[in-house]
Amino acid sequence: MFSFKRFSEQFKIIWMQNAQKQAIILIIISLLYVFFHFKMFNEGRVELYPTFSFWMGFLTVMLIMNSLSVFSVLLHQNSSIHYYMTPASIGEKYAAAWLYSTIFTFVLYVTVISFVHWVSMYLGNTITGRSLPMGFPKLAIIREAFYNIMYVQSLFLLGAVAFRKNPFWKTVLTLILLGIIIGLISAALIRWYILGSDAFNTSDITSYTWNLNVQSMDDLSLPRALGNFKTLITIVVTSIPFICWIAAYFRLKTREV
Amino acid sequence: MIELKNLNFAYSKRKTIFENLSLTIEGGHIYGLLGKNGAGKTTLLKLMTGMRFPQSGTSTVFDIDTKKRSVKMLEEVYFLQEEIWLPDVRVDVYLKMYANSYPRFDHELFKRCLKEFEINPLDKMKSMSFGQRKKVAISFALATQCKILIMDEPTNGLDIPSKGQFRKLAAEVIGDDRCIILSTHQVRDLESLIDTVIVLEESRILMNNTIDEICKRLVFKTLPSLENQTDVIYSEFTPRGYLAVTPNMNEIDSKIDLEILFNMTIQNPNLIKQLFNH
Repeated sequence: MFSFKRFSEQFKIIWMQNAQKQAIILIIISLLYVFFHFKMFNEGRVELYPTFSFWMGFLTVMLIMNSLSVFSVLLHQNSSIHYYMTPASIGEKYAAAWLYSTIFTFVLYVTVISFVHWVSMYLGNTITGRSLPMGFPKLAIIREAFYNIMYVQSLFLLGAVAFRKNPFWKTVLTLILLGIIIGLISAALIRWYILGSDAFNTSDITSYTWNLNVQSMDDLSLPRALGNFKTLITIVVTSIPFICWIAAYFRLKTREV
Repeated sequence: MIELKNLNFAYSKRKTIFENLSLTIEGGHIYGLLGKNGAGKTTLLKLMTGMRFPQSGTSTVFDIDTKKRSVKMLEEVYFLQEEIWLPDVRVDVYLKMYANSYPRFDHELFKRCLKEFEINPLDKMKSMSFGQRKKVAISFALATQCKILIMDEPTNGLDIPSKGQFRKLAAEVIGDDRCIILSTHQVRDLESLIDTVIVLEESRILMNNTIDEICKRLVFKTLPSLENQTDVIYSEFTPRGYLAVTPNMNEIDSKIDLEILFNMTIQNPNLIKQLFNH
């Protein structure tokens, strides 16, 4: 039976272990932020201000780091035993780790960065007499960025639980290998459905594309069978974060120390 | 309390650790788990706590399959490892982090243990020596009030006075509804604490008897020489004379020597089998 009391105790443990580190990172990033603002107001050039993509990239890195850090106890036998022997179910432990490394980290960083941005802009505009726009991104953009970040986070969270040593590099390597395999399968499928010629004959692909004046994949009128396949791929791709999170839970549950 | 039934475990096809092993651990005892290096003591402790899963057979704690790692089981079992792990926080912060997970955690006992071991609760784990961190871990383990305390080499890293303090504190917490399992090579450190001896060797349990049972059947004595000593079944030469073991035919009281008992058990498993009807 899932206990919210034990879940909150687990969350507290994770937070108390990481609070100092998070505070240092947030202070550094806030100071950097203030520096960017100072430079921007000083030189009056809005383009000096770091882009939304830059901050999303930073957030992605932070979420990957926290996903790896939250399960870093599993890297060593002694800390693993300590972790597993703490009275809470795997569901409660995992839920706390998941919440911390996904929504909590995202909301914490977005809130702090937004607050520092707001204060810096307000002070900058007031002191310099300029009226530079606040430039907060739309909620829809943040939501999309959140989905994208969760995508990457889920892969690294699974890696953190699945691999006993060097989870970061092993996850990266696995993703590269998977990318190559998916690429090869895709190439074979393209040959099968569209070209009907020798496999991996890139010159065929080039001439096909050239002759039809295709600018993007959306311009291709796919055969019905491939259209169905695309739907299936979309479903699979969309569900990857959920698959990774569920797989990570079962890996944690069945892992021996 | 703990029951292992027909347990089989191997790390690989070539390396079998336990074959058809059965063992029952009961309340009110302090068990001494003895065995040579690589005999499987730590593996046995891991199987008892659900850290490892048997290939076949069962391992249960209060009739709960340890493989499930259920909260009910984890609230009653504390596993103190030889190489302890503690997060890099202050002792009082560690207490805030983990004490609430144990429903019967005794804060007063924890404070008292720290005081006995001369540990400042405001000290950071990072700045402590291995022995000091072990003292924190022992204090915490005792204060959890878990019914089963499993300790792997608890006296490793402790200074001489602390070993005595550990024995005193461990003896205090034991009751009929609780048991302590001490896996150790340092038998001299824990000789006065242990009341039941389990000897593990080559995938088998060679001995699982209380000190009373052992002393009823065996006499431990020091002899100047072995001449005309026909009843000696095991002896070891020391500068003080021969440490010898003889059958206890006349109900003589003697003080057990765990080191001698262990060596005798390892070297003469069949004799032990005969003597204790295993």
